[in-house]
Amino acid sequence: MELFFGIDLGTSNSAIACFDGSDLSVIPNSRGETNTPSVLRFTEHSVVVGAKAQNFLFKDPLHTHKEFKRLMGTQVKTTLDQFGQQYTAEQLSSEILKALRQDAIKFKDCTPEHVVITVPALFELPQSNATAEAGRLAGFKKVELLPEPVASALAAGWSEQDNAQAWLVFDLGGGTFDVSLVESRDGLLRVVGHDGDNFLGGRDIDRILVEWVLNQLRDIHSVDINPDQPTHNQVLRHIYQEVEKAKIRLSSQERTSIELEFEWDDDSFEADLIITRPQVDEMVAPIVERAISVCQRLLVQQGLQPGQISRVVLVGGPAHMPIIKSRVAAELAPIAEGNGDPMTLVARGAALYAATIGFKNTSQEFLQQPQSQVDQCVLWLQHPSVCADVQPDVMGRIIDAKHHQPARIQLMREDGQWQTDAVEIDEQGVFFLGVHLLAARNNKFLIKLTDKKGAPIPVTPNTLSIVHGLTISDPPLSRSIGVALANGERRSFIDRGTPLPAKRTFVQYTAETLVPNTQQQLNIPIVQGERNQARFCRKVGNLVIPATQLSQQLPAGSPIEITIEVDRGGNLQASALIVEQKKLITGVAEILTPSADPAALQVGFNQVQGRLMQQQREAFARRDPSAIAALDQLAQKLRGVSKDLALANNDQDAALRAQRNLMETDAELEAFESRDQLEELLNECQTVYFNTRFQVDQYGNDVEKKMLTECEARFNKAIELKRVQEVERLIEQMSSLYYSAYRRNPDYWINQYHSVCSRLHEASQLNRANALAAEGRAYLEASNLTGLESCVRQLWNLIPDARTSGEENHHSGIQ
Amino acid sequence: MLAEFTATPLLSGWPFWALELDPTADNRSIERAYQKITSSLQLKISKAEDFNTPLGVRIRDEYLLREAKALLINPHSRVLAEFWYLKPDCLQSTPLDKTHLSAPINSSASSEIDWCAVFRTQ
Repeated sequence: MELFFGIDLGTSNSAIACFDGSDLSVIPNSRGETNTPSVLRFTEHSVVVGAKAQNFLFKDPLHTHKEFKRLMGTQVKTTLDQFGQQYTAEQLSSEILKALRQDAIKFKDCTPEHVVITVPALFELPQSNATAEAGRLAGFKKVELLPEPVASALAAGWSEQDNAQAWLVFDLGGGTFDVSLVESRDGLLRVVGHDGDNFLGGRDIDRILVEWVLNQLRDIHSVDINPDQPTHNQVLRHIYQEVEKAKIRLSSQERTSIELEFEWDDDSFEADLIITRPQVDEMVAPIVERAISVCQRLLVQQGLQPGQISRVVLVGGPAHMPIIKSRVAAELAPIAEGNGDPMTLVARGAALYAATIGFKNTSQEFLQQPQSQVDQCVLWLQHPSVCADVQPDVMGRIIDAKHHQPARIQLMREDGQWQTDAVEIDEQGVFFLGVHLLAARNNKFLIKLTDKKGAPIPVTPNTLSIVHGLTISDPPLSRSIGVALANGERRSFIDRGTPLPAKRTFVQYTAETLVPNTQQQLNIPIVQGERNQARFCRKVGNLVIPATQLSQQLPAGSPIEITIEVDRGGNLQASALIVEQKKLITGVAEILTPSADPAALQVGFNQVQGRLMQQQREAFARRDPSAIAALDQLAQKLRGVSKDLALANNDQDAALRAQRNLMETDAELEAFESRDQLEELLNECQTVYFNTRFQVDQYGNDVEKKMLTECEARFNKAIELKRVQEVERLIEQMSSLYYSAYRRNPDYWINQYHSVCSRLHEASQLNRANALAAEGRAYLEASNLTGLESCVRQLWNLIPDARTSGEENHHSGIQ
Repeated sequence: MLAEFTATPLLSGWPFWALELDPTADNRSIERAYQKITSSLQLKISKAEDFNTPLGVRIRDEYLLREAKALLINPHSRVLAEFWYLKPDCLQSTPLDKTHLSAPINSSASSEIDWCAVFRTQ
């Protein structure tokens, strides 16, 4: 039997599900539970995973680990334990995955080798890469990653009949929050868009409640527990554990007590703190509002109103707190019902996805069947594993006919109710068949191969299966990937939303000359993020061209063909082809999230705070209430960063959160500062418009004229709404139009020649530039425009773009 | 997508060429065309890699096909592809400027005009 496995590797809990083409089930662990806490404990000779390990969080914190998912992709290791061991989040995760794999082996009589593991949608490449590596460490041969919201959407939509309806998947996990806008149409489920917060989850709710407990203990019982004090860590873990239990109880009851019992000042301390649901609701309101605002942001991005959403599917334990349910229903849409256990929705979706990509595993029972391999004709088949179309196509090729001469092929549905015609196999050994599927079923077909006389030929494989059901579009890339340029800008290679796997190639040019056999190296920083300035994007890799690998000098302005490839598993590959030397450099270094150094973060924080205060002073002086309100929000965000910075020395998680939020605040502040540029931009836009109008009127075609008219309308709207980014885009588009029309000007290359010659003194290789200029003059005098064009193009590459500092361009050596 | 397709909006209809469809294709036809062409590529059927465009024959791979499908099943991007759709053989029937279609816009050209210098895009 063919089995498909999917794993939800969660911050707090994990689960493994299995799909056999008909039934979708969650595999229980040895305790019979479908969810296994993502907690593990190391003993001298073994590893204990799940609820059993959870019991030791308080008693044996040195060897018991939890919530390590948030540190995936970082170099952070656990504290050295008594056995002299330290572990990365990747290694710890692999132990959870091993335990889940063992459960599958035990209950499904199958050793899974191919698995789909889910990751938060906003995981960046280093985190995804670490998750795939954890899967391989756990013994899986092939690992595909799937964004959690896509998995939950697939599981939630699998049994739905609704067509062309939009709905939201609201996934509040232990450590991350993801929201996806999903639509199903014609049997294809499509994630229209998603958003989220990598640092918002149930753990934040716990932290707020723990703060409340600490205040209560200090004020009422005079017990002052300091989270920064390492000696208080054990007590703090106990409080966290009890708070979590109380939080779960409050989902079904109006009040409960947090029962505390620990050693304090060499004495035993006991206290029962009564807490009510309204108290909790009030405390967690900011977190709930933060999650809802992320949803609203997503709807605005997609041009939708909450009224246009048919329902919201809640995923994850914390999402089922009554306050969250009521706020989501009030602000977004009604809560969906009947999607089964919300805690295993993600794992079930992952197993379904494994089927759609044909990630099959074979059960032991099947493997032990006698295989009569004697002299079978071998086929290579291509068909969807899961498909929404009831009449899909099957293609194939004979790859080893042995001594047979196959002439025709026929498929017979296993129920005996339908079969294809006996179709001819062409001279290349290729065949093409259309099949009929029974709806919502696993359809198995028997394959019959015959020779010219109609005599049967033994064939392998002799069956094929296609499940009729909802399919899902390929998972989209969550953040754009590109390269940082020497001028501080970012060039996007693979845009956000591009279906994975994806691969793109562009030509860039070296910004400096590399001399062979020296210590020089040229960096091609690979960055992830949406901002045009490279410094606001996260560096996720670096492709290095060392001068030692060059056979000859590589002059500035030399073309480099850069290819970036990302697979579904989040693996990033990059290569650079030095065109002139036909030398290919591959690989990506630094695929780790840079560690958030608290001292460096503090410096960054001080700078942002200084700029913010300056803006606030100016806003007050102008008496500009909207600016004051906007800056207030930024100040609030910065206070959050400050809080995390205070914890950063002892809490790597807080340090990472501070780093991410500081980066976002910095970017938002810069956007605010650029508001003053609007006036200047509008003037520029007008100039660009008049110049473009002149060129398009003279040399433009009908399409360009039409596009320019559209730009006019958008320009008026952008002025009305004061949208800086829209004006920037317009200028860019009109510039493109300008050039596309201007290129038809007969004097275009002559003008360009004069222009580039006026900048010859800036050329990276003066001698070569002078020679090209002289060559160009000769072409000009001979009226040879083709030759002139060639000279100008080469000269362009020798004139450098303005370079920015290393911090702003991630030390990029390309332009 | 192929770098040349990003150079001008006039080539925004490329997903239809890659999947050998025209703007009347519905989602089901898109899925079928995608499955059929990717299967042909996998099976290494001759000429499966080639597709016609107004610029001539271009090479497609699984990445290009995946992206083409994703663009056509997304209503927003599909509108753009439909709007700019040109028949792959249009250059034989209409006097469209092929040089213009294929010529990438070189940013350095902008250096001659001050107002463009800040908007360089390679």
